[in-house]
Amino acid sequence: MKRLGCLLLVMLLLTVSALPVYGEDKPIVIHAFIYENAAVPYNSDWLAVKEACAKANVDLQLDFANSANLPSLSKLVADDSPYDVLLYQLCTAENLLFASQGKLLNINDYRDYTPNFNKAVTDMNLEKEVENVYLPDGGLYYMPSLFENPLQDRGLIVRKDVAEKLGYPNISTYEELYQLLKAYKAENPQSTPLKISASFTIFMIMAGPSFGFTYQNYYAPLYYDYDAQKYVSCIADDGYRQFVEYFSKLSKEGLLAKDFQGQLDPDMWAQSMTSGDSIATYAFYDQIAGLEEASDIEGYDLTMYVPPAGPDGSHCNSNDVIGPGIMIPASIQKRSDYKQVISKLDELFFSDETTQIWAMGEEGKTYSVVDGKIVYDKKYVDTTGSAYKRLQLDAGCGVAGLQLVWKADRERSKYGEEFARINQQLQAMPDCMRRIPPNPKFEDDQAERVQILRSLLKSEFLNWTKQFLLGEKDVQEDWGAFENAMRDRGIEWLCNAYNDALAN
Amino acid sequence: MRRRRRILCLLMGIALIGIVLVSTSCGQKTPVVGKLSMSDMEAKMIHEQYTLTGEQDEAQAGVKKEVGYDSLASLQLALESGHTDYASLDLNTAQYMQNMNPDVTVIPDRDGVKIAYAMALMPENSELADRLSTIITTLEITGQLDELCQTWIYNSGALTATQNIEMPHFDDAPTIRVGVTGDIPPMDYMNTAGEPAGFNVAFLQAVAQTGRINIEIVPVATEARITALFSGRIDAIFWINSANYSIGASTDGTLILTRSYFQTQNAFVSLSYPEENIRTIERLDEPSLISKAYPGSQAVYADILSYTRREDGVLGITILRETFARELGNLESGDFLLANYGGKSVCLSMSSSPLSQAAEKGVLTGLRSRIEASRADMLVICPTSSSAYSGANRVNLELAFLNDSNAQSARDAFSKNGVALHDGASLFSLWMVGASEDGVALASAADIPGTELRLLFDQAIESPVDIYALSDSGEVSQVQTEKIMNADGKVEAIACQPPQRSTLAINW
Repeated sequence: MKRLGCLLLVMLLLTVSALPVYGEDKPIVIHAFIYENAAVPYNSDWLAVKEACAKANVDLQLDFANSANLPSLSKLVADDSPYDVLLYQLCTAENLLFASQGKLLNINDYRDYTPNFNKAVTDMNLEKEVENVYLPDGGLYYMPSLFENPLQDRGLIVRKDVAEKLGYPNISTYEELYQLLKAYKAENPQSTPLKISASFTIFMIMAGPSFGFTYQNYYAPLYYDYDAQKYVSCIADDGYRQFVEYFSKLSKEGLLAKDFQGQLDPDMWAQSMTSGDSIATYAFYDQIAGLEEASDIEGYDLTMYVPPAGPDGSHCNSNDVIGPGIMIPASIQKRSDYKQVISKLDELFFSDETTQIWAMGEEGKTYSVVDGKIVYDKKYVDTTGSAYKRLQLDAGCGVAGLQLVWKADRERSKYGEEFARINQQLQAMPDCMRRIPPNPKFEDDQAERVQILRSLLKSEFLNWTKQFLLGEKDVQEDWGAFENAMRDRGIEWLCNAYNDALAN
Repeated sequence: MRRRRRILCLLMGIALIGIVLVSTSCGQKTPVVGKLSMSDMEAKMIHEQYTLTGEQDEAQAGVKKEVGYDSLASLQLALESGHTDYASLDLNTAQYMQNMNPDVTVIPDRDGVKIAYAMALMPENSELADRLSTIITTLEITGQLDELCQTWIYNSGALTATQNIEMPHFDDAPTIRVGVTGDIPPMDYMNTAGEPAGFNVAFLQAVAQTGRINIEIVPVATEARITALFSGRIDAIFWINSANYSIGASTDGTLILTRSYFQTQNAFVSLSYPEENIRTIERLDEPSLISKAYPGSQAVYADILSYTRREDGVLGITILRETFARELGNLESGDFLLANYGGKSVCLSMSSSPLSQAAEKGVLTGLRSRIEASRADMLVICPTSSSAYSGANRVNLELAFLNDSNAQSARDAFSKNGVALHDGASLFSLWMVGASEDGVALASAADIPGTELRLLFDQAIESPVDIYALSDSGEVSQVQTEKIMNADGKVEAIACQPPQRSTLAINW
């Protein structure tokens, strides 16, 4: 009996010793892949990467590919995929196919292993939004990035020094913007006062809402009527027409540069902005510092305004509160410790401690707390008082794809006082920042029809918009032909389909 | 009185001629096939048509006489009186005739002869034709066209229902007049009161509603509808068979055609003529759709091909280019995309490497499940990059079959005759791929023995097509060919005896 007991004890010891042990000294190795963001080249020496991995005790082996050499997702999720996790992924379009083929792990089957993600969703009150990205089978095939009370980090940016000189210290309406651009053009006939570097669609997202017109890829060329809480077509509502009328007028009068539709070389745009050829643009706030530093003009001072009031009031759209996140190939289940990997991924990207690092870095290294206030190390702070851009480029903080939890107070702390003031002003304006409209869910058959039709309509819509804005088509004369083009392609059917899906 | 006698004599004379014609007809070996004239511009004279057949067991095999009739009523009369042995019509009209008269036998023509109905307009109305094409595409994508076909064409009971379809009216919109005939029931139907009713009205109502256009429906005789269009009495003809023409062009360039709104196939209708004498061409197991995809910025252009096997074993393939609107996203080499075509899903591949290379790269893992998921029975992978033998005018296709029987059927057809396809000036090369238990395996060239290659031609097209062989060193050389002419002196096929069959087979 005693012998048997000894034998069992030895076997137990052997079994236990055969199990993988992840003590504090032995980080778990996780192979990850990310499509590289050209604007923020990945650096494995980033402080945020090192500190977050150390905190979670993870050895993150991160492969990345640039746009010239992108492997297909089918390879990344294949049965023999070398990756445990794919970063910066959405489960839409083609990815749906992989989910339906069982190539992706259903996160909902492992929610016991994702306590930090679950807590972040609850704390940020995003349960409903996360449920919205469930597939029809009830599966959640990626852990999305989560955003709280988004900030206005993009919009109309104007040379404040010039505006004040010309008698427009505050651009609060689109009429004032027009008058300012006109006044500058009168003094500088060779100039193109408004020059836009953002892509054509980003420009519409920024400028459209004050005209009552909202643009998003998943519903264009429909847009959302916030008052009626339903979708309207671009030919059945005045918003879009007022938008193109306004900007085509600027274009015709030489106030808006015609090379703005995302094709403009960023250097040309920067040169135009810094040389005084242009005094206004639609861009991201973190682009201001670079321009200010590059300009030799004395007193050169750019500022971002809250959205000027247009025919529909003063509005902008918030960023989406749900963004790309981490996707886990089903092949991870070949690892005997895959559940622990899931648990570690949750800790690495969603715990309070690591998300603080991904957002701000490490206390004492990137920032310190002085009298209860966060103060960033000087080497990260630019001319606008913002630490956002340099933290991103130099320390890997605030990098989309790595930072998955975005809390408003942390993000706000990275910008200067001017940015805080603009956002406070914006928060005080009722109904100014509107959430992204709801994305209706369609039945399978209907979804395919909607997608094909919308794709055709969107292509036609963008083509017409471009022609209106560049003056190649006249809004007054050609509006009927535009209506026909939209109607023939079934915009009314599409609009009804969206509203029916919303109602259901 | 004298005048009446003269008329009587004339009628008797006509009757006698008729009897002689009927008796000649009864004793003849060459069958007479009646068909509806497509227009009054078309010759209605009796003419002979040569058809390509392999089994020349009768001297007259492959020869038939065709007679054009001005209306469905006159064709029915000719059929009933024995002036024509059988009628060649579209399948749905044939089935409609059978519903009306149970004595009628309908023999579907399984050779894949396709009928595609479209509207026709004058060239100066090309802008309107474009609009109508766009609207038809919209009705197709939204499923409305399918619903209309289901209700008014496939469900013949709907025609007997007294449904009042109101055409919409828009005060500020232009009006177009569309000529309908009532001669292609149930698609183009008129009720007993002589009023257009059914699919024609329902479809035109949907067009009017979608495009906010006023449409006036004008009844015209089939044989007079082209004249009505030319004279300006109507702006558009409701139907013309556009199967052999591309959108925006007609046979002689005198008409502009819209996108087709209804497709069907040919069928034969007989009252007493022996069914076995009506030659049809057998299809492979099921009509299949395969495709070649061209990725575009906003859409995928795909050549949809249907393959058929003829009685003599020659594999024939027809090609139709379609556009699939689809956001391509990050679609890359080796990814697959599902698209919907004519109610079937087809699997398009963007692979930029031949199947064998793709297999080596591991792209084909799970190909079987992908084909199954697409509900297609064949998948074509087409390189989009150029190589020595896939230059600007030639495209290499690789076929993957879902099951062994399909692969074997096609392989048999290939081994017997060899095959090449043409699309205008393009030459398609084929690789055979057999199915293995765990997915897909390439068939070796040795599996395709044979003595002759035959290149099939669509009879309506005479574009020069050549056959090329690829040497082991990768050089492409032209192969000597022999042209097979049809009775009209048109090239119908090209036969060749390739010097290096084994090498050529690799690329075919």
